[in-house]
Amino acid sequence: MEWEKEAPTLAALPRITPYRVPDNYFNDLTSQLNSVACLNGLTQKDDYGFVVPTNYFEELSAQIKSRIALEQLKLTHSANGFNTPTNYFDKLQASILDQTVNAKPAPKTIRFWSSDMMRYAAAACFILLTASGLYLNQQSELKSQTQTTELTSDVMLYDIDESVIIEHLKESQTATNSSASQAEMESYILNNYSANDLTNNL
Amino acid sequence: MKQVEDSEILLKFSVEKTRNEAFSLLLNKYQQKIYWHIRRLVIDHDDADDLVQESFVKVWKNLANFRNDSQLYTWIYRIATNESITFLNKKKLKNNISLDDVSGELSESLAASHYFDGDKIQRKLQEAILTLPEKQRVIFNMKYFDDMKYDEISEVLGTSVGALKASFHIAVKKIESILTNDELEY
Repeated sequence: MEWEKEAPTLAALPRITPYRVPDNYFNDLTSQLNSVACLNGLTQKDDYGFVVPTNYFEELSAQIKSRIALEQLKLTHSANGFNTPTNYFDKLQASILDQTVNAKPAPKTIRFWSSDMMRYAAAACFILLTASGLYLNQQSELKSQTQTTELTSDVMLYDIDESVIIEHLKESQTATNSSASQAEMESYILNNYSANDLTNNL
Repeated sequence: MKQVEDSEILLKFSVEKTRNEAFSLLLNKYQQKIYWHIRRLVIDHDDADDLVQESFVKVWKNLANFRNDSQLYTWIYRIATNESITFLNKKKLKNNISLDDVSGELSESLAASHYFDGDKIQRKLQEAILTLPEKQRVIFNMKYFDDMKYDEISEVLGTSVGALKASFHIAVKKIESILTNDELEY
């Protein structure tokens, strides 16, 4: 070989593997490997070592079908325990549709007083009318009260003696000139003093 | 004991009745070769024992699917080689070490091994082989110790004949260099 020429030292060495093995190793190895293979073969089997009764799988199919039929029968029987009117379900569907999909919309009724706006407007009108009435009433009372007061003053004035009025005027330094006639004095008094002033002072 | 032909083994294995017999024949024919092939890679006997058993269990499981596109011999060798390389890679990952450190561990295992039966030069040779990269070591072992043909090695490793020749040539030069440099010590 070519490499022996290039590596004479290596080529000269004996081609052995200088390792030992335990005694009887290879004999034991054979039996060990056979056991391992055997065990491995067992685990690869489909039935895993279990046995089934004869014709089991053939009968199993029929048994399963029978059981299914029985279950279905039970369900059917329980469903027919109650009776319903003839064509009930046909009519039921139509009835439901009439009430839902096919239902006509009811006419819309607008209630007058249902609107809040109307209520507020009515309340505002009422308040306005009431206030106006009260105001007018107050004004008329005030007027009549004024008229009554004037009338009372006039009455009081006519009840008072003229000489008393003249004396009062003199005292209040209103009359400086006593030469004024009585008629002139009366007109002066009536023109310059209201009945209330005379009543209050007297 | 007369060596049984691979074709006879395969034929007997294909019949369920004779399957166990065929497997026994296969074991008798190949178990030692496969054991030593693995042992040279992993050094330790216990590790080799585990791996050889795992390899032959795989052979048992997959022999029914063997397609005769390679020799039975190289097919079994391929299983054993892959198991060994997988083992060494796991050792690398487990200990979080590089390939060189794995070789160092194997050298320590060699030194401490109670099952080493060679002289100093033999020990030196084994240590020199452990310095080779993993795949190169496999190629060297199969060519040097098992005297396998390059075609057969190519079937095992899936590498071209040219690459195998180159790899073996480099390995031989490296080992020769180690042996020659240390020759003066002896």
